[in-house]
Amino acid sequence: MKNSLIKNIKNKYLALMLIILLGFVSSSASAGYDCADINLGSYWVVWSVIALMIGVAVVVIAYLFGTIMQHPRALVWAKTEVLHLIISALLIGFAASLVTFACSDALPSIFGLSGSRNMFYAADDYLSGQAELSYKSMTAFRYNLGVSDIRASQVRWEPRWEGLFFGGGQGSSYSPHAGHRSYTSVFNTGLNAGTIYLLDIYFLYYVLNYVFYGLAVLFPLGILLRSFPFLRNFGSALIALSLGLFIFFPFMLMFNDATWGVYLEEELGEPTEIDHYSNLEDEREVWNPWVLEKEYDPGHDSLPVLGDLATLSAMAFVGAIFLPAINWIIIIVLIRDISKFLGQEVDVRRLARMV
Amino acid sequence: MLLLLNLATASDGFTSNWQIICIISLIIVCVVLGIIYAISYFIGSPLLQRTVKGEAMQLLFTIIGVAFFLSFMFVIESQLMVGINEVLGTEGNLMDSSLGVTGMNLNELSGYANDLVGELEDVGEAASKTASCNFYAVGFSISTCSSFSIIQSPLTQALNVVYAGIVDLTAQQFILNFSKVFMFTVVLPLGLIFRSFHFTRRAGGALIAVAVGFGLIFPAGVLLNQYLVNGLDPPTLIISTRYPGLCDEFDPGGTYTKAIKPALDNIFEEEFYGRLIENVLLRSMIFTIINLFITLTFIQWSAGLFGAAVDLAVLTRLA
Repeated sequence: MKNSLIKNIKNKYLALMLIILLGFVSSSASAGYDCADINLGSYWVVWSVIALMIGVAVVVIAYLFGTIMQHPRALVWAKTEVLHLIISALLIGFAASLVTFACSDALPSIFGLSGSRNMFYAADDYLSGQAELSYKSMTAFRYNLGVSDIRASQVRWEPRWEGLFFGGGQGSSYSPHAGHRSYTSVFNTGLNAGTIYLLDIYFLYYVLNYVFYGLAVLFPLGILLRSFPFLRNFGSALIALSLGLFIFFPFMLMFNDATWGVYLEEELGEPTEIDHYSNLEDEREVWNPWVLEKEYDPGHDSLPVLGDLATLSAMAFVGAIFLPAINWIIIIVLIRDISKFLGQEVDVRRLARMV
Repeated sequence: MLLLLNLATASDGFTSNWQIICIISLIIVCVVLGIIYAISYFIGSPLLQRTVKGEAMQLLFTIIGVAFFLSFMFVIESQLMVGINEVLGTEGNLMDSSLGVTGMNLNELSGYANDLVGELEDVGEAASKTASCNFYAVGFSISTCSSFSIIQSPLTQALNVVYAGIVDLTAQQFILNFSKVFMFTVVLPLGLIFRSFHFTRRAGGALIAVAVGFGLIFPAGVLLNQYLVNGLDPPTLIISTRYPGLCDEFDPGGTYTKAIKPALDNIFEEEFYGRLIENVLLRSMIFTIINLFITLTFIQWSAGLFGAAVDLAVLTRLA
């Protein structure tokens, strides 16, 4: 596909496109991206151009060598490489356009996330929201673990004979909430699941950061490696991976924010019963030895707690595990297409195993 | 093109007129291809013209597919759902009906959990009872009803299973609600747009597969599973709450006969576990897993039709 495309495009159109794209690169580089404040800036374009220049220098040296030494193979190689250099230049221009678009607030605005400056912020918002939800889930489970433990430990003594006399007596004791100890395993299950959700969200957060900063290193490196025939495929794979992840990973997370995030806001409203449970910090407040009747109130049923906690856990699961897994399907397919176009098929399916 | 998404999400209730949104997205793609063709004609580029013609063929294929899907959905909603709703006692379209079924099962499971929680409280209290007698620091104490702690263990296991079932069904409810709101109004049109262009064609196919998978196959699976167990009895708690109350800490001999033995017999009889498996494991956990597996298999198969290879082995771990 690539070769047929290259062969069919007329030289004049190629030259025109190159001039336009290089002009765009220089204008976008000088204008700076919105991403500059999170340290991406535009220096990756500079590094990419430097990498391209190194490639140009190698080709020029090869050409000079071929001319001076009358070496036809070197001359043919240099002429062939010119075409690949042009492709690399076009790739830089194309990538600069995409990055400029990704770093603008256009996409978040389209998705109704006007508060985000670019899709990385929108993705970050999504992950922050889901991390908060997972953390709430963990807090709620941990709090209720403490509550059930304290309640289960409460013991009531009841004398059988009224009063004690001659230093003796008879009576009985019982734990009115000893059954709460059975909830411990349920709450532990929820706590473990919440921990996994939170870890997954943190993992996605670090991947987002890696993807963001990785472009500045991997893309120029890909351009540089593309300049050498025996490393061309590897360079193409690096370009596909860095650019594909840079564009599509935050895009899918932003998509989640615009759909699941909005849905959750509508579903939860505020304030919620879940907020009530997850904002309780100190379980010792349920224990008051002097107000036993209040604590022994059978109306203080545990089922609403279980139901709310199950809801919280299910919500955290969908946002932290289910949707990112679906996201990876799309991301992987897109990156495979890009890498195929660039001439190297990357086995990005392995990325999904990270889920 | 992406303004379409804004339009979809800005609409009241999201779910209205998803068919129109899909048609609009196809029209937008037609217009874009027309513009590109006009440009290619203007600059005299046969290569671009050939490319646009190729894309137009793909668009035609997509339009046929969408028309088939819309007709299929129309038949399901107008003909099939009437009968299904009658049998299952639900109402509304495919998604509403499956949400109704999930809600029904969730309510039953919550009632089951409620009974278990009450029983655990009573059993726990009874098991903790201790009688004591002392005279000048010399005496004894006896945990007459501690045998009730034996019952606590299977009840705790049952509560664990019920809790997992509640989480499963709640997650299913969220996925169904989410699919109802977004799959056909946002994901499907986005997939149609993506599918119309060369570089994003396979991703578009994957998006369409995800939209149809979770918008059609997943709720259909919920209804199918419910249909299979429709005739079975609703869940009933077999254990009786009266036994722990019969425990008398000052009567060790009589307590075993009156309270503990009948309670143990009650718990360990076959029906208790049979109903637990039938009503909890089957309806809430096994069915959810099977549904998810069927949906993911469909996504893999239909994405494969569009040339997008989806690694199902990884995704089935979700189930």
